[in-house]
Formats: sequence, structure tokens, C-alpha cells
Amino acid sequence: MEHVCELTGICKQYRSRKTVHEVLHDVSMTLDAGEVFGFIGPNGAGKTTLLRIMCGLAHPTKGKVKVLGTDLTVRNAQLPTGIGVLVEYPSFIPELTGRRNLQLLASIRGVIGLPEVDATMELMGLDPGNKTPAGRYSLGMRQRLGLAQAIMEKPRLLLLDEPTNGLDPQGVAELRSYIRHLADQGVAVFLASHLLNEVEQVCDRVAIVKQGHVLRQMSKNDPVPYRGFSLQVSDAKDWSLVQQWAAQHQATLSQKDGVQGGMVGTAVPVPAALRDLIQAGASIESITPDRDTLETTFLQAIQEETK
Amino acid sequence: MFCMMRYQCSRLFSSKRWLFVLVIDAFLAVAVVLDRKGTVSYLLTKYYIAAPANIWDVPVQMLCADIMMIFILVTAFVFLVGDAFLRDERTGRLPMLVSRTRNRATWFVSLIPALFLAAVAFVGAAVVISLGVALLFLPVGWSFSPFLTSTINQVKSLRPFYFLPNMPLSPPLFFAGLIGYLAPALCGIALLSVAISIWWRQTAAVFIPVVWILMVDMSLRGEVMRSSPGGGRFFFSTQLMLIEHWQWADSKITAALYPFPVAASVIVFGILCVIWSALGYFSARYVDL
Repeated sequence: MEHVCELTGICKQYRSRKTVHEVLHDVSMTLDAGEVFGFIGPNGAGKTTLLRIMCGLAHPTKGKVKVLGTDLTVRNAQLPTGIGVLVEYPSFIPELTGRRNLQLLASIRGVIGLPEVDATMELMGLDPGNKTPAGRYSLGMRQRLGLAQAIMEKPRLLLLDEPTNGLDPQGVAELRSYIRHLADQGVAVFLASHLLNEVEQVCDRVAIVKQGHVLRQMSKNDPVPYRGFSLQVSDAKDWSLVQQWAAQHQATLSQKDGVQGGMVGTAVPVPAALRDLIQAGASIESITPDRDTLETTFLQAIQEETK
Repeated sequence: MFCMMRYQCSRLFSSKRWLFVLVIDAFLAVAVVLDRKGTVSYLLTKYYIAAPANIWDVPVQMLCADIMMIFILVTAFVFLVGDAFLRDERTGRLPMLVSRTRNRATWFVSLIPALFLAAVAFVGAAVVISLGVALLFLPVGWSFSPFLTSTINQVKSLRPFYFLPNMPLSPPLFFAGLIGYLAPALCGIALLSVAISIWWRQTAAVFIPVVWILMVDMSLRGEVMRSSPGGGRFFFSTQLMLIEHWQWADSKITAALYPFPVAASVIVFGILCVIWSALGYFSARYVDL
């Protein structure tokens, strides 16, 4: 099956009179239909540049870009149809209403009409009858309008750059479920962000990038190393039961200062350990598996790169 | 393509900058009115010559006779539309627009007619505003004023440009022609501004053509005209002034500008539009946007 998007060895350099500044270095990735790919990195990592290359606005210095069957490496290439783009801090004609802005944008491709524009606005929580000019929209409303223009023509590839900028928590949760919904319908989603939690919850695969270098690529199906769990119990009696359990299972125990809890290093899975402890009469306040999160992986990758 | 042009027009015409530019037009018109009233009164008190002005004097002075006023209007037009690319690039509108087309250059090609329409609207608005301001101070006339058409030497010496005593066109037709004359010139300058800004993404880049006209074209023109008045016709700043085409029409010493009639200037503006359009087209197609 052909990938929706295929990048091979992408390098992007900007030359000034004296220096060559490399924004992207040997970036390779594929994106399939129905997949959400997260591209995470600190500011200046090259996320936006890659997004611009993927939608045909910029050309790579080296490497090959194929998007929706079109080779965008060729400078004169026709651009593929079926891409929806949301840039960071989207901007519209400030004097026109949100609806009029979307209507004008939709007319360029001419595949949808006003009813679809209105439906998309409502889906994004915007009122199509609102007569306020887009220039007076709040940051969150502008972001919703930006998302509406990106999805209104039902793209096959959705490129999102920091899509949750300015959204309230409810908006973020709605967006997350909507991205998953789109992916389930076969849309390929490329999500550039520096918000790890947001990426972790919604993406199938993730690339960690720093200064144009992809440090690590991970899939949510990759096995995650399990090191034990952290737990908190009600009182000292319960903690002594935990110590007994640890001694029986050759688990390491490190208690946190001032609390009846700590880290338990063991290969015993959490459900089994929890069952044993409850049967032993321990009162458990909380228990959390000690696994690598995206945040720990990200920080580890960045630290390794710095060394 | 047509819809993209409609988007470009909506964007250009809905800008609030028009208000600022139209206020400048009104101020220039007031300056002309005050100057003209003073001159007419001077002629009457000093020479007892009655050569009254009327409302048509104001747009003639503003749009086809006074190079500094024309220069201010050119600058205002570039301020209005010249940063079309930079605005789209900086606000992130470019990816939204380009991703909806099959060709990166569509954005620029659709801008060409939009800029031309903006130039027509701009000159038309300047004529209307100058007439509106003039109506407050000067009498209405149905033909060009005695001040413009007088052949008396004292009047001619106070009128720094030559105006055909028997102008064959009625004022409305004359100004319709003026719009058709200046619009391609302004459109050409704006196209060059946009094309340059694709390469050099600084606000200063937008004003390079204006600086060129002021610093290079106008100073060279001044030097050349000192030795050969007719030589001024080879400069863009001369071509911008419609009245210059008649400036030497009755001179016995200097050849008239008829080797460069009005039509020739329009052709020159048209050729420049084509050249800058081609430059912009290939820039939009091959340069990173």
C-alpha cells in the first residue's frame, strides 16, 4: 500500500552570506492513512519547516518528499489536492466574519458549499451566524476557525502545527477526540507540537526532534519497559505489609521521605501485586506503574543529545 | 483561479489602510485648493487678470502635473498593497491558500488582476476625493477652468505645466483616460514590490521601487533635463505625469514629446507589468514561499 506521505533523507539548509544554517537533517518518516504521527521538539526544532515542505511551500535541500502520490521534490511539481493545513496562530482577513472567511477559502477549491462550511463551524463550536469580524476573535476562537478551515474539505492528509494553541481544556479534549475520529475515518494526521501530553494521548507514532535531527521514533505498539510501581498506603502498618511482600518477591523498596509510600522495583505486574497486598490487608491509597512516559523518553533523548 | 482572485480582491479591498490613504488624498487636495486660490487671487490683484479656477484644477494638479504629489500617491499605493506577499507569509495565510491550489504560482497570478483592480479603484478614489474636497472651496465647472486653459503669459508662468488650451476631451472623459493611464503604472510598481519581497522578506523590500523612483530616477531626470529638456521623457517619473506629454508641444526650440505619445507610455507601463509579472510568477514557482 502506498504511504500517504513519505519523506526520505530530508535536509533543509538556509544559506546566508557567511553561514549555512541547517534546519532539518536527514529526516525520514512515513505516514499512512488512519495514522496520527506526532512530531515533537522544542521551539526551533524544525517542525514548521517540515510542515511547509510537506505542503509544498518549501523545497528540501536534499532528500525526497512524496505526498499523496505527488513527488514534491521536483520544483515545478503540481501540488496534491486533499491536504488540510493548520499553521501556528492562523490568521484570516480581519475585517470579514469567520463564516465569510471560510466561504472564500472554500470557494478556491470549490468542492464544498456554504452548508458544509456552516456544519464545520458548528462542529468546531463556532456560531456561523456570528457577525463579529475575525480580527476581533479571541485566540481560541481563531484557532477553532483555523481548524475548521483545515478540515472543512475533508482532507486525506491533515497537517497541524500546534493545534491546541489558545484552546481551553474542553476545546483541547474535543480536539483530541476529533483527531482520533478523523484517523478512524482514514485521514492521515501529522501533528507538530511541543506539548508532550497532547501528543502522547492522541498519536500512534511519535518522532522526537531537536535542532533538525530526529533523535528517536516510537510507536505506541512498541513494548514499554516495566520497572515496577510506585504506591502509597494509609499508615505505617500498611507499609510494613508492603515491606513483607517485597521481601517475599525479591523486590527492591525505596521509601519516600515523610510519606507511607515509595517505589517498588519488581517484575510482578501491578494487578497481581495489588491483589496480593489487598489480600494481606494493606490499605492502598494509590498505585502507578513505573513505565517510561513520553515525557521521560523525550527528556532522556534530549539529554543524551546534549551530552 | 477566479475564486483565488476573488479572495485576493476581498483581502486587498477590505483593508483598513484605505482609510489612511484616502485621508492623505484629501490633505493633498486641500493643499492644491489653497495654492490655487492664492495664485488666482495674486493674478487678479497684481495683473488684473481674471483666470478663475474650478474643481477640475485639483485632480489635474494632483494626479497628472505635480510629480511630488504623484510620488506621494505612488508611495501610498505601495503602502496599501505592496506587502501582499509579506502579510500572507507572516500571518501564515500562505499555507492555507497555496495548499488549496494545484500550482504554487496561482497565488501570484491571481494577485495580478487584483492589483490592477486595486490600482483602478485607487486612482478613481483619488479623483473622486479631490473633486469632493474641491467642491467645498471652488466653483463647479463643466469644462476645464480658464486658469488651466489660459494662453496669457502671466497665467502660463504661474502654471508650472503646460495644458492644451483646447483640450479635446471633456473633464470626465479626461479623468477616465487618466485612470486607464495611471492604473497600469501603479500596478507595475506594486507587482515589482511584491516580486522583490518574495526574494527579500523585509518590509523595506516593498519600498525599493519607490526609493528607486525618488532617489535614482527623479535625480537622474533632473540632471538630464538641465541639459536637454526633452530627454526627461525617458524616465519613469516623467512618464507618470500625464501632462508631460504636452509639455513641449508648442516649443520652437525643443522637440515635442510626440515620439513618446500617451499611448507609448501606456505600452511601456504594460510591458513593465508583463516583465514584473513574469518575475513574480517564476519567483513564486521556484523560490520557497
